[in-house]
This record gives sequence, C-alpha cells and structure tokens, in this order.
Amino acid sequence: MTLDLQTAFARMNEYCGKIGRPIQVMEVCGTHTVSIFRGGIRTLLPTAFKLLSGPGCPVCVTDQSYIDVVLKLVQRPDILIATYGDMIRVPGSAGSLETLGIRSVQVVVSSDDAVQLARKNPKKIVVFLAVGFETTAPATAVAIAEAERLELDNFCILCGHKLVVPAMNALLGGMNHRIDAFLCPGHVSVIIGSDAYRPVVERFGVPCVVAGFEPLQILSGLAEICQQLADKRPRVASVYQAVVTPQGNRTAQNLLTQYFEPYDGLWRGLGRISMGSLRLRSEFREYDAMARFGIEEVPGKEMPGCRCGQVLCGLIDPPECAMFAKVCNPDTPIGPCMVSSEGACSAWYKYGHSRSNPS
Amino acid sequence: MKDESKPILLAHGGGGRLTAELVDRMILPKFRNDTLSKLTDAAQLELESTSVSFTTDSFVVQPLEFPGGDIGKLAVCGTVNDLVVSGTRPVALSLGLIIEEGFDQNRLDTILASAAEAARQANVSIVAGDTKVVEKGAADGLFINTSGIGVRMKGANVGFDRIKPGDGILINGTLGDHGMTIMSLRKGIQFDSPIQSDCAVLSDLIGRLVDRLGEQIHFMRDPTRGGLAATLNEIVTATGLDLLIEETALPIQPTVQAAADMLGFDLLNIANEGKVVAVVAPDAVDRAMKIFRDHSLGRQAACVGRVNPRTEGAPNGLVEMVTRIGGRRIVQMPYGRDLPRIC
Amino acid sequence: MCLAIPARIVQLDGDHAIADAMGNRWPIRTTLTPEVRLGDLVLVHAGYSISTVEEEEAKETWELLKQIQTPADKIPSGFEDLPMGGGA
Repeated sequence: MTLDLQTAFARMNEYCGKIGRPIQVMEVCGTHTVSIFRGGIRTLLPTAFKLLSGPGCPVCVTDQSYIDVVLKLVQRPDILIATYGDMIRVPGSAGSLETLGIRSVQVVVSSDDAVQLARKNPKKIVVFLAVGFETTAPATAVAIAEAERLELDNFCILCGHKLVVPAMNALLGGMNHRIDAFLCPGHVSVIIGSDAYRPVVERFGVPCVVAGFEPLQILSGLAEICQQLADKRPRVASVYQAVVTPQGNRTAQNLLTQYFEPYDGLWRGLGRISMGSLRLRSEFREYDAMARFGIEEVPGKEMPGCRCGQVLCGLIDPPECAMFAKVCNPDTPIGPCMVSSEGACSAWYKYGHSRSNPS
Repeated sequence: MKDESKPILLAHGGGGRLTAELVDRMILPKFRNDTLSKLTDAAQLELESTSVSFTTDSFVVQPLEFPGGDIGKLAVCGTVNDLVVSGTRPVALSLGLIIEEGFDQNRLDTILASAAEAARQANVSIVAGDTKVVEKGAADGLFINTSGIGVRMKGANVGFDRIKPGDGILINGTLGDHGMTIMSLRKGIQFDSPIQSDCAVLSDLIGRLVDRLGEQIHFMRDPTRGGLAATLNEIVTATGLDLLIEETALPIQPTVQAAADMLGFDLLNIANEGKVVAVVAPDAVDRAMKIFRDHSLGRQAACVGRVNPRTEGAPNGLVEMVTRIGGRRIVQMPYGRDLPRIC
Repeated sequence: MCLAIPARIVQLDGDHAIADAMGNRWPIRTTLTPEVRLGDLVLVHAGYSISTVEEEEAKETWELLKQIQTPADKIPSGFEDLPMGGGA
C-alpha cells in the first residue's frame, strides 16, 4: 500500500532506529534510479540508510560486443535497423549509431512498429534491436509471432534481452554480499509476479519489496524494507498492488517460454551471469540476426580505468570512479552507466551532486 | 481564390520572370508596406535611436504545419520574441525562404499568410526578403530565415549583469507545449493528442511588463530549444549565481505531462515558443505575476523559483530544484536531442 | 528499467486497441492482456498493455499523490516555509 509522505518518513526513521546499524538497499531497476534522483529522495533518507543503484538498466548491461554487431550489420545496404531510442547513443568500440551518423536506423516506440517497417520495406531486412528485461521481452515475442503469421522473411531480431532475478542471485552469490535488501522493479514484476523473488528471499534472507515509480511509491517500498529489517523477518512484499500480482502475467510468461530460452550471457561490466540472458529457441533461428548473418559473439573489451562493473554491483558510488564527471560525462560517456540516461553514473551526474548532497 | 495545386520550380528562384511573378502574386500582397514595396536591394529605415538590437534565426521545423502554428508563424514569432526579451521593440524583419523544388504553391501561400498574420500581431514590418529554390532533396520542403532589428523599449534595462540574489524567476505559462506537439507528429513516434504549440508573439505581454515595471525586470529570455532547463543553466553559467526552483510551482498541462511520461521526456528540457522567463526584483514579483495573469498569454504564469547568492568556494553556479516530496536535485543543461525511451 | 503509464482502452478490435492517457491516444496491442475489455484501465509499456490496473488501488495512490501537489492557483512568493533538503 502507498503511504502518505509523513507516515513514510516517520516509519523509515523509526525502523532505522530499531535496526541500529547502517543498511544498504539496492534499487535493482534503472527507472527507479532515475526516479529516486529526480525526486531528490536520497537527500531525504535517514543517515544510516544507503541506496545502491543496481544493474537494472538494459542499456548499461548490454555488452559492447552487441553494439559492435549492430555496427557490422549497418554496413550491409540491405539492412534497416529498428531500435528503441535508448540504444542510439550506446557506444561500441568504434562509436555509436549517433556519433557515426548511421542513416539506416529507424527509432521505434514498439516492437510492432518494427514489424510494420519490415512489411513496408520488403526489399530490406529489418533487424530489431531487442533489448530490455522481462517487461520488454514479451513484446519481442509477440513481434516474432506476428512476423510468423504474416510470413515475413525480412524481419529478425538481435536478441539482447536479460533477466532480473539471475542478476540478483549473482550479486548476492558473490559480487556484493553487503546488500541488505532489494527494492524490486515494479514493471518487471508485473510480468514475472512478485512470487518470482521468493527463491532470493529463501536463499539469502534479504527483503524483496516491489514498488512503483512515483517518489511516494518508492518511499512506501523503502519504509516496508526498513520494517522487515527491523523485525528481522525478510519476505516478499509489494506496495504496487494496483498492477503487480504474486503470479504475474501468465500470457506474457508463456510467450517468453515459447520463444526464448535462458543462457549464460554477457552483461556489460559484470561478465557472464548464469541463466541471466535470453536467446531465441533454435526453432526460431530464422528470426535470429546472429544466426542469419553468421555472426559470432566477441566479448567487448573493458575500458581501462572504467569502474562501471563495481558501480553496477553497488560496490562503489559513481563519484568514487576517477573518471566520473572529469573525462566521463553524458556528452562524452566512457562507461555504460554514463551512456544510458537511467544509468547510475548518468543519474548521479545529472541530478546528484547538489549543494546539499555534495560529491 | 487559390490556384490549383502547382509546384514550385527551380526557375521560381532564378531571379527572372517566374521569381518576379511569385513575389508579386504571393509575397508582396501579404506583407505590403512602403519600405518593402519599393523592392530596393536594401531596405532603408528611419530609426528613433542609434542603439539598435539585431538578431537572426533559422527555422527548419518538421513538420512544417502543426497544431497551433506552422513554420511561417514560428519564423516571425521566434525572431520577434528574441528581440522583445532583450527589451527591444521590434521595428523590422527580413524573411528569407529556401524552398525545395516541387513544393506546393498553395502550401507556401498558407505558410506566408500565417507569417504575415504573426507580423501584424507583433506590429512589425517585413521590409526585406529573399527567395531561393534548391533542387529536390537539397532541403526538406521549406527552410525560413528571419532577421530582425529593434530599438530599446523605454525603461528597459535587462541583462545577465542585472540578475541579483533574491530575484524571483517567473514564467508566463505551461512548459513543453511546443516541443511535445512537434514530438506527437514525428515519424515513428506519432500519437493523437489535443496538445497545441504555444507559438505566439510576446510583444504585447512583454511590452506591458516593461512599461509598468521598467528596471525592476532584470532579465528575460525565451526558453525555446532546451526548454526551461537550458535557460536557467545559461543564467548560472553567465552569472555564477545559484538558482533554486520548486517542482510543485512549475506550470504543466496534465496532457503534456502524460505524453512526456509515455516517451520518457523531462518537460524542463522541452522547447517552448510562446514563453518568457523573467527574472524580477523581489518586490516586483507580485505585480509582475498580476501583469502576466491579466494577459491572455500569461493566465497560467507562475513564480517558479528564486536567485540565490553565489556559493562560497564553488567553481560554478548550479540550478537546483526542490522536488515535490521536499528533496533536492540539480537541473542540468540538457544534452540537446531528445529521443523517446522505453527505459 | 521500464517506463509504463496507465491508459484507458477507448477502442478495441481484436488485439488492436487505442489507449488514452489524459487525452493523448496511442495505438497499442493488447496481445499480452487478452482479458481486457473496452473501458479498462491498463498499464502500457512500449506499445503493449502489460496488465490491467486495479482502479480502487490506483485511486488511493493518486489521492495521496495529489496531496503533495501545490494547488494550481497558489502563487509561491518565497521559499521560507519549504522543507529544504534535510537528511543525509
């Protein structure tokens, strides 16, 4: 349930007092990160309460090799790239779709638009840049179903979809043991259901609380986390009941299972995460751009000096990286967390280093 | 009566008979004034002052027509507003057209008519013009350049150097209406929306403000590209002062907010075309607000923040915002190109 | 990681729908929420409805959000009584 402002702060303060030690809570989701900064939430939290920004920004964790594949594809005159606007500025090793001035790119706001683009351009092969977590992946599955139905042979996807729960497991399983609780992504949870976090709670004993994206909803989620920590009774909870159910969206889940299978894919800055990425099942190879054009995945090189990996794990705050705001900023991003507008570094840079919250 | 649809030919920009015919038939009747009608190589103007403001702007908006205006209206409003926010009264404008071969003449006629109407509203003459036609593909339909000159309004004294700690920051209405209107029409993004561009000439509104409050108006700027965020950051860059705005005070239309939320835009960064940011002496804020709200272009005016002193030891000024829940965040200079996001 | 906003289904034909958010209207697909009916409030992400919205639940939240909005006719003339970023 959403709390009013005064109650949310009062509870947080009360429970933080009870806990009696500093706590670290990770907001897994990049949209939460942006909303937290835009709402100025960090400037209002109790001193003992530290928020960590997690790896839940699909652009940030899309490996450089993915962009390099895209840049290879656009060299073919018969290819048209359809992409969400988010990917336009993400650099590969040679540059981004924006800096390289690639013309054969169409920004779409829906996977369905990408299918329509293929219909309207029968002489081109439309490659849809399928990125995002469980919220976005079902739309890609529908697009492939639609392409099948229309018997389109000029539509395929470059699959970069990722899964949230495996990343949470990987974090607590070794990358960062200091996380006391997770603020879980509201819209991913619409699809996977809040029950999907049960194994995380059972294995690691940390609260997993789903919240919406209004500052008030986030604060309500944080208050719930404080209460669970104070009571030492970690569990799965949702303060976003208007759209999140324990079982999630079965139709979407079935589509995901039908078209995709999880595998140990590359996450930028984090390396391979066990069962953390999705790829098309082999029976849909014809819609897989990698298979269709015979492209092999080559892991991208880490930028020397870039500490995005540690930022994504919540081990350091962006200003602790020597490049932050000096050579790495949103106009000339070096690491993935600065590239995406919802990356932790970008959010810190844009909204963070205020007078009352110096960094 | 309009002719049947006829395309613009390269010869319409060639300086020969077709050019003369186009000017006589389509341009002169709309903008008729003594200076323009002489068709001299350069317009001669008698000005009441030797201190003259001069500005220029080019317009390449796509699409050319949008709810609330078109490129013709925009081209006049843009240059007129640049003059008036500088505390000058616009006297004369030039209008340069770069037309793509094949452009529909009726469409051009309509666009020129709305430019003429905007000029009438601004009480400014278009005294010089130019028409060029470029080959198909060399321009996107129509580009317009307007330049303008003006003389200082009586009592006006505005500039970055006049902004002082304690001043109020006012805006005459809602944020992002123009930018979101254009966005709603953009290829790949389109959606149906009742949003209209706020494109308007600010001469009358600003004329009243300066007339009544004079030197108490310390600074004005029209927050066009980059929106309010860009204008406020320009102020801190130029002055080194800090600005503090309040999120709950920002005038925003719910419809525009919903559209921005869907596409992942921050309305602070989105363009306006009929807005002025005025930095006003503290004891004139209430009067300035009343002048704004009594005017049809200022019904939703708001005092959105104030100017703070320079922060000791800080390398530069900062725009900060008190958020809806009472937190703080900074407002950065926008990157410059907004793309719809799903994340 | 995922922007989504509530919108109302104002036209529905198979899994093609028009969704309205404060007067803005987008064509969306309802493929992922086959249960939706005309007039339902849905959550829209990247051109697809991904769930229906429990209106009672949502209303409570909206009421709370409204409480922290300044009334439109208030003219803030100073910031003296504003809570200025305390905390850490």
